[in-house]
Amino acid sequence: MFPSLRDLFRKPSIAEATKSEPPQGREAAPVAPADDTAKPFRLLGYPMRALSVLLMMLGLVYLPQLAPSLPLSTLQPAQWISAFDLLEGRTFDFGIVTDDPHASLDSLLAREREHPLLDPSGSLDPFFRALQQTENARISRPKPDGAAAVTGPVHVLHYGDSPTTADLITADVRTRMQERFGDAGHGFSLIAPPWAWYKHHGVKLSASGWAMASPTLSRANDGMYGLGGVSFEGSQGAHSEIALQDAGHNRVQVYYLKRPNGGTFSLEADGASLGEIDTAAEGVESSSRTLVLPAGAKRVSLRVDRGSVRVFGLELFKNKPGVVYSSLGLNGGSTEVLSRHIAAAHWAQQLREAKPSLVIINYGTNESVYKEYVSKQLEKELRQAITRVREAVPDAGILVMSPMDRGVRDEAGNITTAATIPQVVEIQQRVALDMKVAFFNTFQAMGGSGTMAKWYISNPRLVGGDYIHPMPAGAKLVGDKLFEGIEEQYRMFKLRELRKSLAESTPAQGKRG
Amino acid sequence: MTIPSVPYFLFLGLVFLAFWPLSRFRSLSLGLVLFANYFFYARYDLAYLFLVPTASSLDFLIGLGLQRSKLPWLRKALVLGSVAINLGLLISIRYTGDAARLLQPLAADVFPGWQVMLPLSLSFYAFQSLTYTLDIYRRDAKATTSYLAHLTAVSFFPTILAGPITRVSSLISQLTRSGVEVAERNTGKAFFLIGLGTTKKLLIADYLGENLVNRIFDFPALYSATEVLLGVVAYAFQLYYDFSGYSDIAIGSALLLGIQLPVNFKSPYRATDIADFWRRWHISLSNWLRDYLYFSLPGLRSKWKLFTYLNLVITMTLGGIWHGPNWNFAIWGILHGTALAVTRWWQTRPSRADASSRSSATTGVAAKLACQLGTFAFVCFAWVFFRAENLDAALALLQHLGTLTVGFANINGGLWLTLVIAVVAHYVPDHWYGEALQRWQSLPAVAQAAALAVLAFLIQYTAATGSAPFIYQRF
Repeated sequence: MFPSLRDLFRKPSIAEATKSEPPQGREAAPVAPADDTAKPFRLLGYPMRALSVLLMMLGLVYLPQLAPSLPLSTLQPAQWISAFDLLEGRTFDFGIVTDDPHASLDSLLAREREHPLLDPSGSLDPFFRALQQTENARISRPKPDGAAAVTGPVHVLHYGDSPTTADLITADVRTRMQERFGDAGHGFSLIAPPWAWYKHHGVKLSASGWAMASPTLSRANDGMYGLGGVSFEGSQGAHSEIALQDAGHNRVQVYYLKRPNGGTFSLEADGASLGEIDTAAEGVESSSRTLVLPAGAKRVSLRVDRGSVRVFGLELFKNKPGVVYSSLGLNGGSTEVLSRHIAAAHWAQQLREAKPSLVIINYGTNESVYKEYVSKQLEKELRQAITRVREAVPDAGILVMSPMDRGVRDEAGNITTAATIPQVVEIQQRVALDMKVAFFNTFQAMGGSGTMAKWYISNPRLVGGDYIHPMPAGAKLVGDKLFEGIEEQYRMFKLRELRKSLAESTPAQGKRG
Repeated sequence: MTIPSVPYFLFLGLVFLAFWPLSRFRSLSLGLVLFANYFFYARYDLAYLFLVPTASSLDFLIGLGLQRSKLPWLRKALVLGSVAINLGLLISIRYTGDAARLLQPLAADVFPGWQVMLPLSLSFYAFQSLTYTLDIYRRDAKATTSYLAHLTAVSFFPTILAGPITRVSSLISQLTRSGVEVAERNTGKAFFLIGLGTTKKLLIADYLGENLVNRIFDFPALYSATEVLLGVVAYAFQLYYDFSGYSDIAIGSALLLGIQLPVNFKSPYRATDIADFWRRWHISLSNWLRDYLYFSLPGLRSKWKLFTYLNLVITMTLGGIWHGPNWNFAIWGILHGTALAVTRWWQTRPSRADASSRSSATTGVAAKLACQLGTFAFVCFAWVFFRAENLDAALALLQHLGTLTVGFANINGGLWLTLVIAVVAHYVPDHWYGEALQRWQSLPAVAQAAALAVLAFLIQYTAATGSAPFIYQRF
């Protein structure tokens, strides 16, 4: 009944091999007319050749079971079942929410300990104190002249790599922080985009005539890159324009280098002159100058008038209490930018000028590409970076922020977490806690190992096709996690402060009583 | 059920095994295919088990009404009813995504885990179903009296993800006669197409998409202008190999059941003008838009040529918006519509005949190549709007192209090789494919089976991550 073995190995008849339409978009070559007119044999109505090809193929697919040592996987029974699984992995969880509203204090504290933002040494207290003052200033009634309500801004400097360069994550944290504690201005901006990727939310840059140097571009011999990590050298005619979405800024602080034979540059706001800055000095010295912006200014421009000048960037402030969150990203940046590439004394001076309440060190993704480096060098570099910041601005809080998950394709084609990422996170956490600075575990906060695989298949996609850079929705998710971590710790700080003041006041009341 | 995937091929194999013994009994074989169709839909969502039979039943009744009625107003009302049902189905699933997303949190409170949005657009079902009632209305086809045949044909599973859009009347006639000779004649071709389509999809389209296109379109600013340009070209080929690969598998799957589906692609990037491109790209949709939309627009027989041009722009703009209600798809449609109108004007202008006769001797290969290159460049430019997430992203990518930065640091050897294969395979002479098919068909059955088994192992390998859904599946 079945076709003979010879039939299976024979060439098909011309009738079988011809008379068919060409594949997609192609014309079949002319073929000889059919001469095999005999009625073909059919078993149970099957087109026999198709049946034999299918059955033999199925047999061959199961052949590896005879040689289990071969690296070939065969069809599993589960796959047969999966063909008929109507729900195809969809689950319908009609269960009851299992959160116990009366969970014990211990479990709540345990959950607190699992929080991705760790600060057991209270190193963020100065930052939280500044936040509290700002919060109090916002809710206190302003005096008639308005002066008393204004405190200095709570300045956060967020150093990071490519996501920070594009103001991803940082823009979201800035928004949340400013909604919560007040908007005291955009903060730092470079004066020209060193990378097309450099973009700050609410700020549009256009510039010409600048030669740029940065640790991740062409390096400057003296290691002077300013607060933002990029140095701009321009001669007469070099020009920058910063268009602001928010017209509420009142001050601009421009960072530059004084040096012998330094030229002059001038600033304008909406066409009105703000002043001219002479960069000539006897010695080389990092400097900054603050200029007042007219009300409603939407365009700040900077132009080199004479000679050659070196500018590092500018910061924009508002005259009201709140947070300034400066995004200081360098494409391809790593911890080494802070630990060795930026000249220590110069950077310390720039940090002091910026008066930060918090410095965030957020690297690790680029380091994670180099396994040896992570094992041998990363810890030293991170310790050095923290030491430099601490020495420059001892009153500022320091927060080490771990990298996000980084996806890579494994041999089977699955997107998995790069093996070095958990190692980087572990090193950063150990160093941070050892040096008594705060640590935010971004990797854990976003979901831990395998998160990028989930992000990649989510709709909308949360990570780009490189499984590294977050899409805006993914960045917002991380930004929200960081903000929530800060806010949670801030609440704990206020609780501690309240307890402290209660403890101090209780004996006095007792005496009075 | 993603195509190509292990579950799909197991499903197809089992349908094949069950179909032929029943093929002598028309009702049983139709019933089996109908069961397979609805099973295929149900794999996406159980809601289709209500939507599709309801819409199909209404269209069946409308078809009978159109056939029997001689009253013009009644026929018009009936056909409008069919259009409303099918477009309503299409719109309610395609364009209510945002509303569904708004409803999702509310529904999630009541039914945790429940997805409000349906995963599979019924666009291709609607287009296919409309061919039935519109053809009867125009008296180009007759209504079937077989309810079972209608339900089976209108929801034929190989065509429901992304076509090829096949006239229901053609499917009914094929389903109601024995197709065993067609299957026997085309066994080799069926397996060849399934294998070719799978290779196109997994080895070229998915590879380019994963390793180059997605990255470039996500973050063009991270790459040089030359890399971005390569990314745009790679997208053109990704889309072609993805969609034509799907069409190959659909046509091959149908052939195993003795059903012939229309060709959907004819080397589109060899087109010498944009009208030629649309005769080669997604042919079944182009024909559908021409036959059922363009010819239905007013002013076609007007002496004013302006109507012709305007109708082309309207047709393509609507075709664009069908892909999604956003500016990107509208711009893509307007670009193509305008290009078609300009091409039509150029080709029909009075001085054209003289000019072409004078220049035909001097032009030739070089001119043809220039036309092909120009058409390809235009199509790629329009694809930028088609692929980008939104208008800002498209403009940012084009702006970044304008920086003219040169570098290929992110293009590795595997990408170069895949791109070269993609381009060469598209431009090799037509007869090579015919010869390849002939050689394949002349192979012994065991050799074909061995080749397909190798392909099966390849699918197993890629199934670890799952092949990406067909791009057109979402439209």
